[in-house]
Amino acid sequence: MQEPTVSRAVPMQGIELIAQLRELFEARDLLFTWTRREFRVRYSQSILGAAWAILQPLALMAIFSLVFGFVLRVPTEGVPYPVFSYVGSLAWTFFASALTFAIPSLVNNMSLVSKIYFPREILPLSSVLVCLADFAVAAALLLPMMLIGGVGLSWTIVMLPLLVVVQVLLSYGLSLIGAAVNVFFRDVRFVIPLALQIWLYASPVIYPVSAVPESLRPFYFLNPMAVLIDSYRRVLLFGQLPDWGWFGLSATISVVILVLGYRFFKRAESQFADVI
Amino acid sequence: MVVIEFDRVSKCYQLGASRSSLREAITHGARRLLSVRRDERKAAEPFWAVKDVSFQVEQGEVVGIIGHNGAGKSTMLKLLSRVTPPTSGRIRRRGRLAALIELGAGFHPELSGRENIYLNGAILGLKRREIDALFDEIVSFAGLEQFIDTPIKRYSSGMYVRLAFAVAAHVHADLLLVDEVLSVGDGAFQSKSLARMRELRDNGATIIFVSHHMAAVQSFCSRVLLMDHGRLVMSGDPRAVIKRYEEMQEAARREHFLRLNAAMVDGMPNGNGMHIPSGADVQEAIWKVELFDGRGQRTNVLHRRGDDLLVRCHYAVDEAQGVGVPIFAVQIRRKSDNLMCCSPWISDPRNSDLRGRGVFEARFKNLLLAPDTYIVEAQILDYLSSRSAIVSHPVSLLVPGEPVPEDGIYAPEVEWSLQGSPLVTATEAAG
Repeated sequence: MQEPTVSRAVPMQGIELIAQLRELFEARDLLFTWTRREFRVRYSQSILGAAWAILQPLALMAIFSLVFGFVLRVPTEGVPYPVFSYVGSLAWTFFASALTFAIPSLVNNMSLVSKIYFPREILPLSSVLVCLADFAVAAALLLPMMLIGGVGLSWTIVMLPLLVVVQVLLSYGLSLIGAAVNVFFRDVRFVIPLALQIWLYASPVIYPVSAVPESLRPFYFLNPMAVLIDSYRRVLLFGQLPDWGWFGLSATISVVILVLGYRFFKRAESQFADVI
Repeated sequence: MVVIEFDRVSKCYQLGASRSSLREAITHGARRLLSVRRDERKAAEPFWAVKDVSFQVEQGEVVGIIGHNGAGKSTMLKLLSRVTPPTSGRIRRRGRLAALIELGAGFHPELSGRENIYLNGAILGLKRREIDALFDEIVSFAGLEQFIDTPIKRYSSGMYVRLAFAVAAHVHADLLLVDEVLSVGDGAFQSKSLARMRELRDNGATIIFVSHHMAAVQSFCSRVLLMDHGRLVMSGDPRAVIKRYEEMQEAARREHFLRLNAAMVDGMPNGNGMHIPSGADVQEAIWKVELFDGRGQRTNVLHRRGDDLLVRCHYAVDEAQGVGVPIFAVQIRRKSDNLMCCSPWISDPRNSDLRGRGVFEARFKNLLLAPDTYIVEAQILDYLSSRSAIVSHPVSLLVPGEPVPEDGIYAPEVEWSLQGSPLVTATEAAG
């Protein structure tokens, strides 16, 4: 017989976190099933189905290539602009769609949240994982593009999983905060598209980091997405390793956001059913 | 072994306190910061949905929770299922819990029956391999072998409910919370769900059962908790607790009835809050109420829909005092609670002055009541004075047939037509 579960007015600190994580682990089957559901539902009754996962970053790339590669001729350090911007679009699409889907995930499943208990962090996590799957599908197109563009693969690609992990941590951390706040203030929904648009220009999706003045870089690299996108290009296109100093800082920022986000989410969680 | 323990548990909701727009929250915060007291629009009103409730449940018990609407039953379930935390107090639970609060929670119409079984099972706390093992059993219980790979948006509502119930019924939890949901649906479905719950009970599950269905509660539960306005007022033997509940319902109904009368009297000149004694007056009484159908047969059963109902009341009024200007009223109520109709009739003031014994009759023409059990009550009030009303004993009236709450309480004859051409009279008098 397992330990009794206790609900009280003021939750206990410390051991609480371990219990919460164990509970999340216990609910892993729900996480996988729910993620599958989200994935299936997202593309059901659409003719192109999961091809949309590729079409989104591809469309971004096409527009960017036309405007910035062909018309404005943004320098790309020897890599064809489409390949250059596709890497940025991939990473950015993953980040932006993760937040866009994860933040309303609690409110969209109102009836479930108000009726049945389960670790609610599963809902935003599923959204992030679905976007990760999309990311993986879309990333498969990168290889033929590199071949056509004459960009060789380098051993530095082994760093890719590390970058993806940091990006997942960052996306999930922000999603937790956003999803919890969205339960109380639906204004979040309107803020997100705006914030993402600004954030897009603050990240090197359409331009290289070298275009950013040297003096501004210390501030520029406080944005973890800037460091991540730059790192993706380094390991995939340029055969370089990430700048470990900045990368380490971004990873730390991401972990801190995740830890704070998770704690904030679990604090707020008890009120979800009453407010939603 | 104790599997559930409530220790002085309370749950408070702030009514009218939701601030779901950021602007309101900011202005509210700013006002508090500047300690501006004025312009406190409608302060949040605390509402104690559950107040100071303590009880324990032993393993293997089947505990019913009953009470009027708003007594705190649903909040109790939310507290038990951890959906919401208590405002104060402590709740301990032991064992795996499954809340069958909403059938088909998380069902998605685009997904197939198979996928929804896995989804719903996971939400109810089943592991994937457990669902694998139970899958065939669930499908055959639902009787949906042929359609299991069809998206459930193509299911009929009956198929949908069967699938949802089949999953719910196969959750092997230590602790099962069952809401009213399992008593929806047709009779066959209800008995199937009750049979399944008995099976789970016999396998040692602890079950908390919330229902308005007293017969089910009495036959199924080993103990019953009675909630009233958020408080636990009684706990014990089902028969005794249900009896107490019905008395409370009766008292509430009576009170409602009195208020109704008072309101009726208040609307009249001279009427100043007439008091009605609970028991029938000794000297003064409507001592007999008889019911007759349209053919003049004395009966308590109204067989034909749209038949006339004649209510004949024998009264005795104090010779000395008399009733100056009598108002006669006959009420028909549904047994559960609601008033169907009340038909006050005031006699001609010039030749009234009711004294001694007599009979008055009210003929309800073309009474179109839905099948159910009703209560008929008659009374005499005095238009001029504030003396007590004379109230009859209730007489029951049965309109035979299976009550279908969804069909409402009024059963008029309906003539349907399609594209303007009359087709067929859809209702026929039941014989």
